[in-house]
Parts: sequence; C-alpha cells; structure tokens
Amino acid sequence: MYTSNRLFWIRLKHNAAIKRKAWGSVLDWSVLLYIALPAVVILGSIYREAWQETPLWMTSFPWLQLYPIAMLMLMFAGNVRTFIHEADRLFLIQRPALLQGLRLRGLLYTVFINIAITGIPFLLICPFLKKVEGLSILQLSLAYLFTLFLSIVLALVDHLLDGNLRRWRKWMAKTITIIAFTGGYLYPMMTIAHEAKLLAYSVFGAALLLTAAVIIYLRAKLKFEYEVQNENDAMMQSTRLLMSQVIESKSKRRKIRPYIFRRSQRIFASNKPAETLAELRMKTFARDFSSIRLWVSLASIGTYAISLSPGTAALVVTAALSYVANSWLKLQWQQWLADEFIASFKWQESDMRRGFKLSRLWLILPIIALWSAVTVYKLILMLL
Amino acid sequence: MTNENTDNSQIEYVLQADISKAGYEENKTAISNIQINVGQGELVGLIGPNGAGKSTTIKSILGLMPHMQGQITIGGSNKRWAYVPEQPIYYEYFTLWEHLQLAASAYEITEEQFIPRAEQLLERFRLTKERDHYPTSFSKGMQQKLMLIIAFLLEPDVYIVDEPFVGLDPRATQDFLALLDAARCSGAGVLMSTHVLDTAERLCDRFILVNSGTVVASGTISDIREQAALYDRATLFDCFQALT
Repeated sequence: MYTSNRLFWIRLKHNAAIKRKAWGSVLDWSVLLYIALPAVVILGSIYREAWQETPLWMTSFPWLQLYPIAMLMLMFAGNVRTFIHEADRLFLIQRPALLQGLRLRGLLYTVFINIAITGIPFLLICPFLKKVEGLSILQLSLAYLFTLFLSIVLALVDHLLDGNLRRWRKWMAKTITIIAFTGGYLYPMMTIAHEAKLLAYSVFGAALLLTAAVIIYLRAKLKFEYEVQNENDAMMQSTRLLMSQVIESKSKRRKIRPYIFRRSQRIFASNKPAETLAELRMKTFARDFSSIRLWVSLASIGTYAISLSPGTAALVVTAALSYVANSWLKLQWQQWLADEFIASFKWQESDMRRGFKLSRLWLILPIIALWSAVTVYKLILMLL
Repeated sequence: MTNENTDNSQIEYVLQADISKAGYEENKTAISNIQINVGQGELVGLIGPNGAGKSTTIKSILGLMPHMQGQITIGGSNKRWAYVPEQPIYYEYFTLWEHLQLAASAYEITEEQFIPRAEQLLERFRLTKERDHYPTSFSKGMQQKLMLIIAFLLEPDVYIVDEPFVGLDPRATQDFLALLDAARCSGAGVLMSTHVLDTAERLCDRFILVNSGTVVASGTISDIREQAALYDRATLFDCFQALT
C-alpha cells in the first residue's frame, strides 16, 4: 500500500536520477578531472586569499548595495515542487489525502532547497560582509532569515498566482508582487548597517507572512493540470538548461495568430518553391522572438566591437562578423528545413539553394548595412 | 503468404507495393511478404491489431523505413501521393494558410489554382475563420483537418491515410468521406489504415489484413470470409477475430 511518504521518496529518487542523468551527460570523468576539479581548486584558493588578505578594491566594493540585488535575483528563480505526476490523473486524483500529503512533502522539499539556494551564496559572502561592512553575527543571521523567509513566500505567492490567474490579471498581480517584494526586501537589507531594528521587525513580519502563505497554499484547492505542468517543467529544468544552446525548444505558447504578417500575406510575388521557402523562412525568423533577440544582440555587440576597432582593423572585424552572421543563418536554415513538416515535402536541391540565398540576403542586409556604415564612418574619420 | 485475389490485367494501379521485408534495424525484420495494389478509384482498407505492422507498412510505402527490400510504384497521371498521418504534423510559426501555401508550392500548384481550391477546402472543413491562425492553437481534430486539407489540395493519384477517423467530429468525418468519394470518382485510389472496422467494412472495396508483420488475408469481404472459413453473413469484425 502506497502512503504519501513512500510515494514522495520514490518520486524524489526518480527526480534525482533524471537530474543525475542530465548532468552526467556533460560532466563525465574527463570534464570533472580537467575542468571542474581544477576550477574548484583555483577558485577556492582565490576565494581564500581574498578572505585572508582582502584586496583594496574589495574593501571599497558596495557589498551592502549589491549583494541583496544578487540574492533577490536568486529568489525570483525559485519554484514550488509538488511531485505530482501526469499519471496521477488515473488513480491518485481520487485519493485527495495522498495528493495533499505529496503537496506537504513537496513544500518541505521546497523549503530545504531554498535553504541551500539562499544559504550557499550567503555563506560565501558572509566573511566580506563581516570584515568590510562590519556586520555582526546577529545582523548576518537576521539578514539570512529574512532572505530565506521571503524566498519561500515569494515562491508560494508566485505558484498560487500562476495556478489561479490568467492573462492580464496574472500579469498585473505578478508585476505588483515583483515591485512589492523588491521594495520590501531591498530597503531593510540595504539599510541593515544603521537600521538593525528595522531588519529585526522585518524578519518578524516575514515570519508572519510565511505562516500565512503556507496556510493559504496548503488550504488552496489543488489545480491538478497546473501542478502537472509545473512539475514537468521543474523535472526538465536541468535538461533544458544543458541543451538550451543545442536544440531549439518548441514553445508551449498557444498564441492564436502571429503579430507579424497577421494575414499570412506574401512577401514575394512568385509562389515558386524557392521564393515560398525563402518567404516562410523570413516569416519564421521575424515571428521567433529568440532569433530576433539573438540577432539584435549580435548587431549591438558587433557594432560596439567595430566602433572600438582602430582604423582599417574595423574592416577585418566587419568581415569576420559578417562571416559569423552568415554561418549562423546557414545553421538556422538547415535546422528549419529539417523540421518534420517542411521535410515532409520533396524539395529540389536548386530550390533549397536559391531559397537560402534569397532569405539570407534579406535577413543579413540590415545588419551588414549597419556594420558597413559604422566602418565607413570610422575610415572617413581616419582619413580626415 | 496470401496474395491479393485481383485480376491485374484489367485495373490500372495507382499504388503497387511489393515489400519483401522491412525493419528499423538491418537484421531485424518487422514486416515481410506484403503485397498491396490499389487501383484507380479503389478504396483499400489496411486493417490489423495493434502492433501488427500497419504503420510500418505505410512507412515502407512512403520510403521512411531505414531498411526495406521491395518495390514501390506510384501510378496515375501525376504519380503523386498524399499522406495523412495519424498524428498531425505542423510547423509552429506558420499560419494555417501558410501551411497550405508551402504544400502547394512544393507541388508547383499555381497561385490561380491554389487560392480557389484552398478557400473551398477551408470552407468545406469550416476552417475559414482560422485561416490566419497558428495550428498550435487548434484542437487535435482541427489539426487533423489541416492534414486532410493539405492532402486534398494536392489532388494526388493515391491517398495514404492513417487512422483518419481519430479526432474528427461526425461532420468532419462526413466531409472527409464525401471528398474522398469525389477524389475516387476522378480516379484517385486510397489506402486507408484503420481500426474502425464497421466503417471500413461499409466503405472499402477490398481489405488487406495484416498480423505479426505479414498479410494473413486479403481481397473483398467475401474473400476474407472465405479465408477466415466463416459463414456468409460474418462481419469484418468476426473475420478479424478469427484471423488474428
């Protein structure tokens, strides 16, 4: 007979096995021996040195202003685990007590993970906060407790909002939450040195907030579909992180129609295979936010690099960047063409070649024009 | 091995498949000795239990099997086939209309032919309003309609349809069958893999019953009854039970 406890441990082991497999695929013995181990040794000795003989720049580093921001970023990345699986809709959904038991243990696991996630970086920064900023052990303990309590509250609030609200309501509620937590966390943390009492009151307030959030969370009706989705995302987090640069992830969005070319209008007059392929490739590019983001980053970084290059070296940098842009477009084209739907039609080699050339021309033109303009401007300045 | 009981000299075939063996690994045969002939205007049902080899047979015909020995011939005026998969396939960033544009362009259908034909099919399957929507936002049935529209748009010589009734509502099923009838009247052949035996019995001219990777019976319903050694009024379901 399964109990919540047994089910939880089975699923925890399963979760650990998935994560171990994902990390094991990149961290084999050679990576551990030649990269990870030396990195730990080198970074460890640098850290020890910085601790024992703190360099001058570290003593003037605004620790109190910057470390709460870093901690806040970590807090925003937290999530709540429930260990509810898709297959539970078959049987377990009829056993609410078992599901509730899983939810409770998932919450304890979330607390444990939050202790580690906020605790490790906090421990690493502690020596500098003590030495440079002169914080006492009591102040540090209060700061950590405040961070931990609010990180769990934030995860619970975020989880409840995601599960219960949709569209603009969710967006509004999440924006308000972010603003409230940012202000409510950063102010007491940044003023800890001269307003220690405020932090003590804040810890008390955070503890009350945490109690209320836990009660609300455990009493809230279980949103089964959302919990399953959330759990699938959490299980695949490591895999997604490790594979994010290798595979193009399929979006889970269920957007009804595109923002660009909303009426499926044609770009080229001809509907020959090469023109249609080029046109649909360009539309895909324009509609895929990750491509646009990468393209804008490349354009910005490239422009900056060209602007920093002295005289004729700008020409070489422009040529090299154009090569990089071209290679990336080619790789994207090949991946796009290999998609199951597009590959289900027989395309002539000549059409594919022409389609690529045509789409590449129109996609690369703006970026090359920008870089060329900056290069020409630099050359004119040099000649003058 | 059972061969099809058809007089080859009188029928012009749009699909002739003679698969000696096929498999996913070189020395592991998944299906063997399968002969399928689909004549013009004919609807042939490919039936069999789960795991019998129906999908492998279809994949072999489409040239998707990594290891296949045999001969596949597509006949008809254009020598063109259209495949309707059981699981709809579509591209995330194309609208419904753009899927049709891509399919039409791959088969070099002119814009003048494409637009009225595509609009008519959208109307028929009640997807006109969703013309510029992403299929990712569609239900499974609507996505399946997209697959059917693409198939009918291409006006192929042979339709290879895998479990067409899964996910379709009754009206869409009716529209699909009406369009299939019209296509058959203009000379197209259909190879349809299905589990819906009563519908198959009503619609199909002939059947190919596969089990354990090979053909166990083929022909008209009377031929199948004979091969199953069953009485005159035995249904396809009874034959299926007896032969598998």
